[in-house]
Amino acid sequence: MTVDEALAAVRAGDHAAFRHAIGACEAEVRVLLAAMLPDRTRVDACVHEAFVTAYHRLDGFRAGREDGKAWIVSVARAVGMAARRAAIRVEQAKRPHRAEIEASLDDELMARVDRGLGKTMAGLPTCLAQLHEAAREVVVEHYWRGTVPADIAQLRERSNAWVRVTLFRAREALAACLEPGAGSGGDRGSHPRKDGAHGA
Amino acid sequence: MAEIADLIREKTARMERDRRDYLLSGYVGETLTDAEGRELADHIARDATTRARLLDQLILHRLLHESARLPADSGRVLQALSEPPDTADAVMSRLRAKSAIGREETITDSFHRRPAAKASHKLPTVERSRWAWIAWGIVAVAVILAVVYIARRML
Repeated sequence: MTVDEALAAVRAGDHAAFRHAIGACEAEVRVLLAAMLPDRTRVDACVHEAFVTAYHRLDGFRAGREDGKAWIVSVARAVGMAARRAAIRVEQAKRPHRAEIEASLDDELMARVDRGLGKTMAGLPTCLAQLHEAAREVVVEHYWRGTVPADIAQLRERSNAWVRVTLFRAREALAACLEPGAGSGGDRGSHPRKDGAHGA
Repeated sequence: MAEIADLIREKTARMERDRRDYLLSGYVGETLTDAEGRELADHIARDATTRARLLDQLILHRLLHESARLPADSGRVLQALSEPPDTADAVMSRLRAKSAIGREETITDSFHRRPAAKASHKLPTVERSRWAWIAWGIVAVAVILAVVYIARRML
């Protein structure tokens, strides 16, 4: 069942058909919201909210004239934007410089989000495999196993600064690898680099 | 002299780059002090390259985290949706399902029917007066029959 067919079925009263629309769009919606939100703990709730909002706004979907998946993503974008602005307002009271920096990134961030982050996600495994071994291990340790930098530093008998610099350079290497023309199917840039963690 | 000046420029440039890297890394890792945060905000406002690098760092940092990779949980979303949305299609669908008189009801029909349906325990005024007359008739006949019965017994 396509997203358009699922939405048509829901409009006709088949409540459960919405499951197909969620299944087809969830990954894209999640990546979109994860990139937009400054607070990653809000991502899950926001994905949920995006689908509930889409369901209740279903009368606004123009079947046959717009793509169902694109419509759901546009609803999620609006939900994400509202959540992003709310998060920046909260940050304004606690850490004004973070709020200022986040707000200044708005236009460019949304331009990248609108170009689509699917290729970035698809290219990540290839680019991760190209990282220097130490950098790859630290990335996996931190992002996949959820280990905090201080614990990684202790485990590897290194300083906290070493872990932070290694993660920073690994992300720089990944960004370069994901650029278009870098051979990983990414979204931006020129050539792959394998310098993650070198000299860290 | 020119070589020394070049070396100094190169060293200064490297120090500035290292400082920016430190600030970018600290921003993503949330370890910057307020003063360092303001310093980075100044760089971001002035320099498009620093802004683009920070954006690369932030997007990758956010996409690498588990929150961007969690599996779908459509069941939880469906649980939150207690009833079908009140779209025109859904209303039509419900009306067709309920229709028992062999013709398709329209939304206009259901709209006109709605006030009556809401007050279904009451009867229309005309029907009420007809039933009242019948009831009064029955009472009157019963009274007449009772009078006739009593009169016969007395005679």
